[in-house]
Amino acid sequence: MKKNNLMICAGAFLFLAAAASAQRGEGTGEISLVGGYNTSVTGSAEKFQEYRDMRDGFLFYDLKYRDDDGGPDFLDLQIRDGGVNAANSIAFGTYGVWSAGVSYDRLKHNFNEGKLILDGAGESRLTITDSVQTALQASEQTRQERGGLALTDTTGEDAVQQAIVRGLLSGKDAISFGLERKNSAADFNYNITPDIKAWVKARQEVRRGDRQIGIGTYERYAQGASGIAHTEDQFVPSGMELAEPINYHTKVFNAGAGVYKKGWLADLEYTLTDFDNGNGSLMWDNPFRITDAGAKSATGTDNNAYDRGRFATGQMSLAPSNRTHDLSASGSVELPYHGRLSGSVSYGVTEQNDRLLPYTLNSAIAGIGGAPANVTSLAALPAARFDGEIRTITHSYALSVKPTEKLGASLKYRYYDYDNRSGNILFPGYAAYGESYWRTVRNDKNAAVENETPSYTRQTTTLGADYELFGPLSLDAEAFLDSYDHKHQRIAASNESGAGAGFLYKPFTAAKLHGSYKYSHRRVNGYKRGATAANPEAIGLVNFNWAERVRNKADLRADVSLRKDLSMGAAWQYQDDGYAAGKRFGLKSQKNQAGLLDATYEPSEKFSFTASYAKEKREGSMDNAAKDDGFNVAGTSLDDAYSSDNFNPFNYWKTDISENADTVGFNAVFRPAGDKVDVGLDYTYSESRIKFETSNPNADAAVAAGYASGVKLANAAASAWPTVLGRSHELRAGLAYKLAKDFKVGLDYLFSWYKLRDFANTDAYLAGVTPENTTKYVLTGANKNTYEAHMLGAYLAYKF
Amino acid sequence: MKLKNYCWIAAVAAAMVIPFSTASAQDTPAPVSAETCTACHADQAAAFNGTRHAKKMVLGKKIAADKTCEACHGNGSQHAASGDKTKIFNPGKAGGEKASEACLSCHSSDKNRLFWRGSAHEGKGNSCVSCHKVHGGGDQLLAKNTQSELCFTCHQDVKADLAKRSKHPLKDPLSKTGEGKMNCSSCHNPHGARAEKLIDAKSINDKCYECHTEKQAPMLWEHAPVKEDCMTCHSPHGSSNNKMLVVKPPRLCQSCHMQGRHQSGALASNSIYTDGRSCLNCHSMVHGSNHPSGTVLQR
Repeated sequence: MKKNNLMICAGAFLFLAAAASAQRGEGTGEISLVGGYNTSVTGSAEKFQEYRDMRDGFLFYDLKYRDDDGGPDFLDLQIRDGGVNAANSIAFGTYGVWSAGVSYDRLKHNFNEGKLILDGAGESRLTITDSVQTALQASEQTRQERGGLALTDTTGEDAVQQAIVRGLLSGKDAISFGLERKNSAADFNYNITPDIKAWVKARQEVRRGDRQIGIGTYERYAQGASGIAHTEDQFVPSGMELAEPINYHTKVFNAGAGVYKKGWLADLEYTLTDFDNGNGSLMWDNPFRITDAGAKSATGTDNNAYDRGRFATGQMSLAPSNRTHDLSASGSVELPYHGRLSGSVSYGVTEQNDRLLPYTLNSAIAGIGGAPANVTSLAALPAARFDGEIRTITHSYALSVKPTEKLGASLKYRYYDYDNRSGNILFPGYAAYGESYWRTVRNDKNAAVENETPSYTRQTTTLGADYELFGPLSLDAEAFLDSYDHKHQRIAASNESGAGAGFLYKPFTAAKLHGSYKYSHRRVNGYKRGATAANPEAIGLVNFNWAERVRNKADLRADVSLRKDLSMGAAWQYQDDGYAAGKRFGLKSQKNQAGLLDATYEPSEKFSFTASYAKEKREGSMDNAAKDDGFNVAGTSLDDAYSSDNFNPFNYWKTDISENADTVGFNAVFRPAGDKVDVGLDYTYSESRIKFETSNPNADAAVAAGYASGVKLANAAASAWPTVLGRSHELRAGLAYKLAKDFKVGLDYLFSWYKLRDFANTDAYLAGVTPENTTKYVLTGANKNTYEAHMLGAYLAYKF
Repeated sequence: MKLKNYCWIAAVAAAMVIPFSTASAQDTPAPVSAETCTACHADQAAAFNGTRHAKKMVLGKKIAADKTCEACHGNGSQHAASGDKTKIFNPGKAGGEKASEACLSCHSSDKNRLFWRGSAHEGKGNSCVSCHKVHGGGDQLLAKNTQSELCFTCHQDVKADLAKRSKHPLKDPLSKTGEGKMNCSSCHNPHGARAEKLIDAKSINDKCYECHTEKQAPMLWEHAPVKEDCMTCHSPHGSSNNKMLVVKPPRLCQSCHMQGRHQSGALASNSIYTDGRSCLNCHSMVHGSNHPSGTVLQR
């Protein structure tokens, strides 16, 4: 409130100064005062306020002032305190000579509201009282006690732990996750001569807040049935959602100079971006342990597969601080035949050398399974810092010519080299399984624990031409080649080539029809075979972003003004991607279509109406299989070329995902008495439905082979996922009345309604519901999205 | 494919031989003063003179105050004498490059238009006056009240995205009840850009890093697609999935990962593998980890 008063006083002072200046005939401006705002939200206020900060009561909203009458000097002032839209700036200078500006703004991003059983949200250390840790640890049910079944509460300790956690959650106040960005910037531009300019810009952004971040691990219960290993694998994770503190500070400095002539231009600029994370790590108390312990086997042997996540204090690294230097040179020159050649070359270096954190803070694994005796110490690391360095080189060139009135052509080339020059560090192992186990090989690659430095070079060449065939009809064509060369990745290179053509038909001024079609084929070279250290994924699985792809893309748009007061448009967009034909797993296809309609009716200055409708359909299909240690399909019709790995055709599953989204809206403006009264109405309805259909393509064969459920592993059994449904209504109504030539009063009303039904948005604690929702996994429940909000406000606006 | 190429080459060759159309000297009109124009077009002149653009022309570009009309419309003696609309150049009625020629006579020396020629917008027959209203209009002389309103005239699919579950703060930035303050031009340069999709940066990722600077650093343990293209996983205009993801996890992750057991399960909807943040419940450092024990992006 104090801040509001300050803003009002400052606003009033500036308004008086500006109004006095305006009275002298030196400037013009506008001031808005907003009062009587009342917002009522049922449900998730955080979702409604995701990017808003609507506050009740009186607030000074907006002051704009411009002083540039007559002379060469100008001044622009804007002050806005609309909460999330706060944007204050002042710019001044002399036209054609110099200009300077200073600005400050802020932006809130509210995530959601949830409960955290730890204290200290927003800080780099989350804590819980020792007594809770002691009580939860005392009731820990070990694998040895539990026996073979994940959900069997043989000792009753699960129930005790659940009661403690539920008690903690019910006693906690909800906390809001979110962040706020505060930006301040200044710039100075100087024209040394009318054609030679130089500039300096500086900006800093402070981001503060917190957001959910998950930590966890899993355990696998092999519940052998029918004598086949892992027939009913159950994966029992433990972990929790934490509050990641956000304390970022970014500084950007940019300076440059250039010559800007009519026929050519050239400039050079340097940019420094310095990002500092005030919280480079997050530590937290493990609520389930007061003392460190290691993972054990079913019989209690150390450094084994069960009882994971038994550290007393956890630590994770957060985004490291980094800085980037970038030098760019740009130029452009006019050529004969209405031609122009433009280009830009950049060289950038990004570095980060934050100190590494210790492997773990779990002292119980020290010296066990090959772990260093000082595993919790920084001295155990082979390197104190990760000397990370990326060098980028970018070239962009465009050559365009128009040798005749009817023909235009362009050639574009782009080169982007991302060269990861970071050092390689070979670690003797790392703390795995919830920091309770020392692992000497990477469990994703079964290889030495050494980091990789993925790099790539991308080159894109596009040749295009357009030709006016006759008066209203123009044709265009394009061919392109887009190639990637990768280093230290599971793919060596890819080349996508394509061609397309289109037309533009303008039979008369008020009608336009535009259409285009493009075909492209991405071919892949050197995709490394699966089930190897170079590519640990299944044989025959291809990442869709690196997969061979055939793309068909088309669009059509028609715009027509049937009468002077009525115009209509219709468009259709289509894209069909086929991936990795003949490959065994991964994304197989993705097809997107959209139909769009819009109309505008404007019979007079008193009334205008626009309406739009968008229908989108997305369909994707992916193939997959559950991993099985016992591949025993040989001799059946399902036996395939991949029988050497652990992906048995009896366990194949596939998912088709389809999304239908409809968005309809209209906007109406009534001005029944000239510019005296202004009534506006704006409405948007949006609905999206995502369906997941998972099936087992070889179910019949599996049944024939004796597996009652149609698959060999329970993990592979297709289960139905509920449709994810999102719906929203948003209605804005406004009434403005001009009391005098320069004085306006108005009312604003907003109705916003959103409903989301997503099976993933669960309560904070799901212990015991299924094997995977264990006693020791605690979410925050910060996922409530459904709300209904009404907001009414009045304002005064004065132009001077 | 070959036939199409031949047709294209033939069209280029044919067009090359068509002579330039040139006006003869006797058709060339002479300049008149702005006063002459204002005598008939007082409203347009008043609207134009009130803009910052007009002041910049005179004070910045040093165009004589009585030449501002003809700086864009060409010499007007014939039109002034006859009133014949065909005797004056009207960028609003001309198409494509012709319409932009007048603007580019000043603005081609502007760095922001470096890649206008041959850009996606120019290639679709748009000109400066497709989006700008030179005689008036608000800041930047836009033909609509806001940038987004203007862009959505053609890009309605993007407008639809902004009504979805997760999106960037682009909706109604000028409204008191609107969301956020990003504009289309926060990421795109509609006048042409170095990167694809009119992205005003060295690459799509470099544009994202301008606000998400924490994602830029090289990491000890990288997730390769992250540094290659943010859009592999994210749909920046908006998505029906959480966090602007292109597909709901775990299916998004399972499109590329299935080497282990828990990654490769069909997974029931009522489990920690699909609930909450799905795979990110444990693999939260999906953008890369800097922790010595972060090989599988858990720390």
